[in-house]
Amino acid sequence: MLKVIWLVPALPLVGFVVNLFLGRRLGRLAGVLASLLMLGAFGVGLGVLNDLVTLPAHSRVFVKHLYDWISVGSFHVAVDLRVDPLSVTMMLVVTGVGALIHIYSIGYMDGDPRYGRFFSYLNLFCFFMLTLVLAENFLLLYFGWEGVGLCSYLLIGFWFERPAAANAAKKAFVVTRIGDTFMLIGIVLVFLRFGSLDFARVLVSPASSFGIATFPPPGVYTVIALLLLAGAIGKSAQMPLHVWLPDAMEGPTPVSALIHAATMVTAGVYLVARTHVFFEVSGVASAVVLIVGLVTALYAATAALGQDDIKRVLAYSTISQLGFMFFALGMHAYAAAIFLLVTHAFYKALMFLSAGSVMHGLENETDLKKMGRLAKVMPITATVFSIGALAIAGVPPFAGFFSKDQILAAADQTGHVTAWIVALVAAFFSALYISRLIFLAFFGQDRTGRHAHESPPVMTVPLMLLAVGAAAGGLLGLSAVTGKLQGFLSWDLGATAEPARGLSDGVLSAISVAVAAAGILVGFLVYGSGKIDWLALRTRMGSFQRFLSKGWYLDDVYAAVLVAPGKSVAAFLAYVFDRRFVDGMVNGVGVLFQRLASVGRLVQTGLVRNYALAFLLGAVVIFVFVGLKF
Amino acid sequence: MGPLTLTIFLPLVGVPVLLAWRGARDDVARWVALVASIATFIVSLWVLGRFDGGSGGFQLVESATWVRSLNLHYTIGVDGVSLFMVLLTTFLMPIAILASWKVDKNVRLYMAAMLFLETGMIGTFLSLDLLLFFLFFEAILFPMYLIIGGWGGERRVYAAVKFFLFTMFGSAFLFVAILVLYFKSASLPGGSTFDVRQLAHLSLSSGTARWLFLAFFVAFAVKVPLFPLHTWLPDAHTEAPTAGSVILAAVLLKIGAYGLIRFNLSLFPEAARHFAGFIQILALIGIVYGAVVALIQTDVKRLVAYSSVSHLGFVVLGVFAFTQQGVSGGVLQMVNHGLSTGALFLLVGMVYERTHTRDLSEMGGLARGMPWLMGVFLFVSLSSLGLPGLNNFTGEFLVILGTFASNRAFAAIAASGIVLGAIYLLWAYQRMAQGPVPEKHADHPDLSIREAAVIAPILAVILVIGVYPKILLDRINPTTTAVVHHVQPAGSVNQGDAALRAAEGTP
Amino acid sequence: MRTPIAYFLVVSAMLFTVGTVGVLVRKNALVIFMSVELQLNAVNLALVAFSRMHGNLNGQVLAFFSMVVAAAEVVVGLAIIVSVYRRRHSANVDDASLLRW
Repeated sequence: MLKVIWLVPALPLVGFVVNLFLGRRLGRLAGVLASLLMLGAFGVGLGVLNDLVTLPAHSRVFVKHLYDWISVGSFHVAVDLRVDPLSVTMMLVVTGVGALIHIYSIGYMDGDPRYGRFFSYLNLFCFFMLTLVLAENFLLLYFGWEGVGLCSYLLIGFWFERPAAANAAKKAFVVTRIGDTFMLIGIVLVFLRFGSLDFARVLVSPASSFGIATFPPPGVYTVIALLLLAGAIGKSAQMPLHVWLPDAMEGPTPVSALIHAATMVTAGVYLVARTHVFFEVSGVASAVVLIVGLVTALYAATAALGQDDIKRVLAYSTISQLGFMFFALGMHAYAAAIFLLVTHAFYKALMFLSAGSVMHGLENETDLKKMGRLAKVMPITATVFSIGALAIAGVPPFAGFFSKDQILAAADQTGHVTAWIVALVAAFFSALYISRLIFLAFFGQDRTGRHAHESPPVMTVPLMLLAVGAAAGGLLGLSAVTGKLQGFLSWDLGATAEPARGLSDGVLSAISVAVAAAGILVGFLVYGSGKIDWLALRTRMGSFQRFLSKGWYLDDVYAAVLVAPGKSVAAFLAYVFDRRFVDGMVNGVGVLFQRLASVGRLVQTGLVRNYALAFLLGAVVIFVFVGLKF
Repeated sequence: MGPLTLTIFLPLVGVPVLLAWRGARDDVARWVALVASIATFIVSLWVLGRFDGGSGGFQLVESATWVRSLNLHYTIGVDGVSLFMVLLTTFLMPIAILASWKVDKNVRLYMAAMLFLETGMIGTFLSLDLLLFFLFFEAILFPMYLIIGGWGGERRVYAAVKFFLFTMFGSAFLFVAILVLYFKSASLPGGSTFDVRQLAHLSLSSGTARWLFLAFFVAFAVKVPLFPLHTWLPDAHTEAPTAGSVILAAVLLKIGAYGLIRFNLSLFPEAARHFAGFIQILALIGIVYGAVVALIQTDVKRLVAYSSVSHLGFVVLGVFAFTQQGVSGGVLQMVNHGLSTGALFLLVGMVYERTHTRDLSEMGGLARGMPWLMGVFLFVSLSSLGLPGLNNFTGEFLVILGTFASNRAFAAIAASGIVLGAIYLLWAYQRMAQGPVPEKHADHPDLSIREAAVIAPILAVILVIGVYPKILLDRINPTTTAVVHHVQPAGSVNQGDAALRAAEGTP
Repeated sequence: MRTPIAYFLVVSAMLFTVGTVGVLVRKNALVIFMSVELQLNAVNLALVAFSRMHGNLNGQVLAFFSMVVAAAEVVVGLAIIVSVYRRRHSANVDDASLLRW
């Protein structure tokens, strides 16, 4: 199966083309076709996995060369696909979770006038995402990277008649592109320093004795790592480029689940893990990753607490969880980050889709204040959402417990004690905001004021499957040292060593469970017990609540500091400098000649005799001149 | 008669037919022009077929004495740079003619002007004799002036005159410089000559070479256009009819960049090196300035025009990096810009035919009623903003790569143009296609079959160049290698390797 | 005895002066025209005189040329004057001053 790895991205691409041109005629078949193709890709992916594990443990990599892409002078780059444990893991997440979300969308998008178009975009996204994770060189990765950004743009703005959706789409594309441009420069630098863009040639640890003969100085590694990181920060919505993700919730909910929770936003994590060689060499870059991740995790967890829109809570939650992943990457706990990525894909997709199910039942209501007691009418949705919530809060034995616990443990055991405490605070807020969401939406009083209903099976069955993943995903990597996934990834990311210092695993687990329980307890007391009037509390803390709900006003700061002056500069250049000065000089030359001519033309009197006199005088002058000469 | 001569003069066959046949109905005139231009395209494909991709020199050279006493020859030939310029011209010309199917004023004259224009442009790209080049170069002005001034918008006369005067301003310098070169070349073994290939061996004092370089540069900088000589472009683009804008953007601007490569680099390599930094800075200003000014435009044609200033900045930046990647990327970017911007103007024209406005604030929600037209518009915008997998990315990436090897700061500044490009194009798309649907734009028809036929070939080429640019690059590379060697005999062609070696040397 | 060349030249100069003054001061187009003829004939006279002085025919040939040209000029000029007169009922050159700023 390794040789047909190209089928994995090709199948969704076929779906894109077919649905783009025939989507309208296919009707509901469009969704079925798209889902089948994704399932097919998942099947091929499983076959590839099967073949990969049969390879000897020391050379679990296979590169499929498709064709030469760009080649100028010494610069060559090909379209090559790379199969190794890391890319296969990502590929299976994308195709597996992706297929479920496709199936769910058949029900969710039913009746939309652009039904076929939706699935073609969704398929296109999967094509780009799969290319991204399977790419063997930086430029092909960048191709997928920008492509998923495009699909994110298309899908956020899917309901483009709504100005908010159109704005959010553009914002997402532009903000991520800022990071991407740094990344592109990083890629250029990689080529100039390594003479190649192939992972096989570039991503060789300088510590190993083979590979290219000489390595650039560590400073170069730092610069490249930071430039690549900028791209990762943009794509994974980390501070300070996170502002696009909450707005991206304007897109249809399956899109939020697939792109803005499970797959695309994790591309940054994948990139850092893939290029971890750079971060291993550069302590500075690692420190930056760690700090960015930690700050984002804490920031977004607090901001999530202030949101009333169910999807925006989940969006900030995603940012926060991605922060945890970056935090892990910064501590060189790559396998732990990827493990969290996988489990997060399950439970966050689950929660988004459940939120979609809620919206489906409530005529697209997203305001938590207008929900409540939904567990009664939507039992399946409530159950699976609760599983997801327990997972994200870090309650054993759900998937999130293992992955988050391993990251927290790594923090303590690698000596980042302060960071560990901050991360615990963030974990506390995570438990708090998610329990707030659960209690407000599914329990307490019914504030809906309408008749809600459960979603059809085509939506609930994928939910249940994801719930299984969210509940049992922890089995993939029960322990940082001996876990199955961690062992599988060790070919790429290195094995996790036995902890040398810090507290023991058991104690650390106990602490993090205690923190999660505390968060849930506080959430229950305030929002679930009915003993505290949370609405009154909220009015009393009005300005603080607004501060949180506005995401610490960062959007407004950017608008004031970047957007407004930018517009003024552009207006000045366009209307004053270009029109008045540059073009004014040109027109000024014209005006100058007009003035000159308006004086000079007075010579033309129109009277023949004046001309004749001028003739005569001219002749006389010439005669005199010639006469004087001889 | 060789294939090149045929390519140049085949369109001209249509001109007397159109002008003399007074009784021809408008439809007949359109078909005559279309057939002539398609025939030319087919002949140019023959040229492509006979082109040897392995060689960097001039091929299919034809030469005939024209004026013996002046040593003036009709010498034409093609290399990797001009080949794709010619193909771009012959490819876009039938499309431009098809796009002007709805022109109904004085159709015969319009079509004759278009065909005459085509001959002029192809001749400009293929001439190897400076005076011949100059003749073709000037011959373009007249039909373009007619097309803008005769079939343009409200301020067409102002725009046409401005276009004409700007170009003439540059041409004056060019002509004097050509004559100076001619007289200086008396020292060559063959005597005074206009032949570019022989003039490349002429050794000039560095002072003379620099003055001549500047004279050539001014002429071509107006055409490119480089900041601050760009202000004719927004006016000409805005006022020209759709096909005029297409040809102007796609081909005429390329003559500037082409001239810089063909003449400035090959005739005055030392001066080129001397002025490279200055010119690259102008190009950078153009990239950022054009993009920033495009941000605020409300007239969609002006917006695209300023985006041209930005994109052409990339071309010049790459060419004057004197690295293999930079020059190849620049040449590729010339083709790419022709396709993308040409397509953008076509689409803007189609939108204008429906909405009767170019003002973005008057539009909105068009994607609802015209999903295909707006989808295509988005596709081309994405190509223009450099989405990987579409044509512009390949060129821009190579330019940045090539520039980075010679000057990091320049490459970084140029990269900022990529971000700005995303902002202005997507904002334009948003104001045009998205948002609530106004009553007046509720039921415009979507792409017609004729319009689809106009735009589809361009889309296909955009995609092919993005996915498999090797087709072009393999033919461009030998020529650009020669150019880079000529400009930097001692320098290294493989900047990547050079940078590598340099990296090893530095601590 | 031959008449000295100076006599002819003086007459020629006088004729030319009369013609010039006529062109400059008169307003009637026909009179100006006749004055121009006077100037031409003054030149012809000088040419013929020089021809006789040098003893070759070059001067006379040139004089013939100028007579032919003058004849052609009269044809065109008179036609213009007549057509202007038909249109404006005036042969005053100051009235025909449209070709100015």
